Amino acid sequence: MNIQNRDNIPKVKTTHIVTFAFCTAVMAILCTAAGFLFAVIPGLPLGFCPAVPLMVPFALWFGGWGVAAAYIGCAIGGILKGTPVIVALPWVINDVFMAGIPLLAFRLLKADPGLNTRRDWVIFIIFGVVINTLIACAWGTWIPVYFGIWPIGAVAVIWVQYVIASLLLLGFIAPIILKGFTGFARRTGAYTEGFLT
Amino acid sequence: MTTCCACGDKPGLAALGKVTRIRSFLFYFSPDSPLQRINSLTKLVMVVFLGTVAFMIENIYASLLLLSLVCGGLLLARIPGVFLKKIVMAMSGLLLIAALSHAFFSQVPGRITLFTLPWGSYFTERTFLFILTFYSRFLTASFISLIFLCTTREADVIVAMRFLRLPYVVCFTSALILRLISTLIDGWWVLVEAQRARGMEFSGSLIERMKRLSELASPLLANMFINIKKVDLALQARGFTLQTAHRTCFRHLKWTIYDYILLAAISALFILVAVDRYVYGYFSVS
Repeated sequence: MNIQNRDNIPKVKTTHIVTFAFCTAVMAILCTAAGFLFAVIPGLPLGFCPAVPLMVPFALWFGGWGVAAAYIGCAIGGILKGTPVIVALPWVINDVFMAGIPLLAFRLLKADPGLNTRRDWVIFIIFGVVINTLIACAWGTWIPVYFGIWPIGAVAVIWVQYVIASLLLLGFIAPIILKGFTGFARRTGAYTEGFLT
Repeated sequence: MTTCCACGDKPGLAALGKVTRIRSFLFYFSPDSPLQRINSLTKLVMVVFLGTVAFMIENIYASLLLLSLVCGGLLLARIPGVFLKKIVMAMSGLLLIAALSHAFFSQVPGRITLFTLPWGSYFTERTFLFILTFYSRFLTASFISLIFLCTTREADVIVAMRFLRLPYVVCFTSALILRLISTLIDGWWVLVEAQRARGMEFSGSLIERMKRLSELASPLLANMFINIKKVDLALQARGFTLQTAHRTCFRHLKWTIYDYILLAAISALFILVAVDRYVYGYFSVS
């Protein structure tokens, strides 16, 4: 039986913890900023959160740390902008879908976050823009119904604007970030090839 | 050494002279605020329990009563009106969408129907009551969170986490996140000022301003990567490892009579509302 040497197993390092903390703080700030954007631009679609285009790159670069940062950062951001804790915690699970689905796809299909080939682009568009948006937005529109924020009759309308906003943000901004900064991310020790290390 | 986290390190502060303001998560608050005497763990329990109670109550009168109690807490916390206005402004988008969606998509039966919409929704006098109840519940839960955020320091949260015997790595990471939020905001303003000094203008319409601000995303992201490396090296230089065990703690959670009274009151209210709501059916719309 081939037993792997314990020293060769990649370990969680302080770099991962520091990177997770930075990503979480960035997410929290951007989510808080989103609350003020809605206040100053009344016609803005509901899902127009500046943190969304960063969630996917963070997940693809830093694996599970990026997904955890998306959840915790958006929860902190939501609480800071006045959403009750009891509503914010289940609501932001949609960000786990938003960041987790492309992470799973990229790792299982062995795609490159640098989007160097056509295959990488196809995987990114299918799992990193479309499927994750549809699922995350479904969660994001159903949870508020449970808390009485909007009635069940409004779900379809709100879901559509959530999807449009997220598709625009992910489709236009996330690829620019991935193309421009994947090299940078690789040079930090926190870049993960697997899910955590 | 046992120092008090809840009353602002009195031995240390006394040596430095009178402290007029203490930095909380969101703003500088008065050390004379009565909520300063309550420790962070009690406040955290208050946020979770009262937030849950707010969403358990569907009756307008009970909900407004709870809201007025929480507003009393806001007064005790001595949160400036200007600051409160900013937070309400941040919530206004969601509150507006909630009100509009209830007005146009809900079907709450009532005696007087004000208007009926082609897709089958209608607005009755009870729809208005429903929206009012929602606002009351939502604001109650939000204001409780606000009281916590405005009267608690970052260090106090970590002290509470240590008291709950959470692993050191979790406490350390939480402390780092809370510290980085303010550091990154400062970093953002440094970038804005640096670009201003180079002649970049942030005036114009809102869209133009946002477009220019978004151009700062690249240096911000690049700075983030540089800072990750710096912080990581600093930690390694100090011999920090994830396996660090039995760390000593400078601050400890202090329990006062106010904490016990408040915890007992909140628990009693929570149990009372839960039993009344789910066993006897009080506080519900039906």
